[in-house]
Amino acid sequence: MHASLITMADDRYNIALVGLRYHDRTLLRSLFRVIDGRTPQQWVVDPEAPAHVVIGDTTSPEMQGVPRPPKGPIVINMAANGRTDGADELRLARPIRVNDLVHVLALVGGRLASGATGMFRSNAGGAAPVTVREGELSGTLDSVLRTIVKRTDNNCYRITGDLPVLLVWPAEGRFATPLDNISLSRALAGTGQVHGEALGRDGPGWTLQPGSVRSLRDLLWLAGLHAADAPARFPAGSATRYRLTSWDILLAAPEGRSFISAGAHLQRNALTLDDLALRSGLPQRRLVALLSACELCGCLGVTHDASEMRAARRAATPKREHGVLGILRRIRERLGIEQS
Amino acid sequence: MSGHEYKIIFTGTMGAGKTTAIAALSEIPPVSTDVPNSDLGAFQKATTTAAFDYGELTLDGGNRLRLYGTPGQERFRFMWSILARGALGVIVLVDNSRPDPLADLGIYIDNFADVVATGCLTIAVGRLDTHPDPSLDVYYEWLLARDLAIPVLAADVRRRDDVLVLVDTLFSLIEAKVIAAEEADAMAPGAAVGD
Repeated sequence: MHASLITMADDRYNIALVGLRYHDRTLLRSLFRVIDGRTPQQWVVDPEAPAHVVIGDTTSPEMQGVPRPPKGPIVINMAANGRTDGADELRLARPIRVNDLVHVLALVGGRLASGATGMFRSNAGGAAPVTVREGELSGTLDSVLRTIVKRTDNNCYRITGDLPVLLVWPAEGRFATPLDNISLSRALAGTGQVHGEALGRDGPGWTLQPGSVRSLRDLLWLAGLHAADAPARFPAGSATRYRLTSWDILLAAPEGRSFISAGAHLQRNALTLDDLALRSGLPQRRLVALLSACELCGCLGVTHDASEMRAARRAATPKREHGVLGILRRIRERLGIEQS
Repeated sequence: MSGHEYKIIFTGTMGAGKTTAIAALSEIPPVSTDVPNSDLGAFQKATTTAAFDYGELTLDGGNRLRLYGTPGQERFRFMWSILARGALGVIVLVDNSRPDPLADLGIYIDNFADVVATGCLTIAVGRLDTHPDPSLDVYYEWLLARDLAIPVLAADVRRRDDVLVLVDTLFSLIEAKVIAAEEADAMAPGAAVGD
């Protein structure tokens, strides 16, 4: 990699994505097409060309070799841990949102127009190195999983593709990872980092069918469904209202399919636990497990609005036999679909 | 109520499996208006749907569910909104083997914006087994970036069970919408409280 001074010749700028997770890279590439026309400049990702702008996790080893302006490119930091390069730092938060991206690129456009800046040429780097100490792994989620592959292939776990998918085939049909510890799982969901004892084989675990394929988020989902403290965190009669912010885990995890109807209600309106039970017809015990799992997987929005709760309490019991609801029930029967 | 007609729409790019999905549900062989594919450069398929696919399911009381598949080629885009008018909901089939399936999805999200606004839309991603990129995670983050919470499922529409899960998910969204509307009506000033 090298840096050199350049002068802007037109409004088309190249961006390098450095030290980012695979799906952050894929998402950003797609979003640059989405925002085309919403900024005065055109943004492209061409790994073969020198980059005017680098979007990267500034805590990643790959970013250590990226020079800073004026000799280097403008850097947009996507580090999750809040560490900054200084007051002038440009940041892009996860989850990435179109408006945030447009805003930060508008700032970049201003800086590019204001004077000379450097460029950056990347030699597409591999996964970040992982720190391995006795009985402990530390690093980004992807890199830790890659290390687990190297350490345990043909033993307990295998990763397939770019996703953190674990193939579990312990002979005893028993599963144990750092995710056995729910507090650790919660920390993992929040930071994307793994810290703790790796590959502990003696801790409590869920019994899975040998050979079943489970993603990391599946395991978080399971942890939520089995969280012992869930009833206390989601008490009946509470004014707290919940909303589903993403369907991903609900539809991906096999145990999630039975909650599709509840998920649909949670997506449409923020509901209290009591309202959700009324609308979905599911027992509160199961809904508490659902809310706990969604919370752990980061797809549960929470609001506290007593006035809306009072209004919702007046709501009538759904009339499932009439109108469209009755039609949908009969179509389900005709097709052999069991109500989820 | 008797003799009412309801419809759901299957849409997606050419070759995404709209005709196959309708065949999995319809009680009659799907009526397809296939013509020779004039876009062989984009997709190796001998014929494609020029107008729409049609299937149906009759219910008691003279009610009928109509199943429509939109023409895949973008030059027939003007028909999409016509077919979607009055539909219960829309299922978007995305072919993950195409060069830019997220861009494909964007076209349908934009063109069915009215349906997206009702919340009665489900996305099915096909050929994930042979073309795992982009993953469903990427689809969800793509939607989240646009402030959309739409169900996305991996589906092989050649398997009827996969199609049924899509329909079940869409129906759950429709039910949630109807119940929310009924409750809003019940809470309107002057409405009776409770049943």
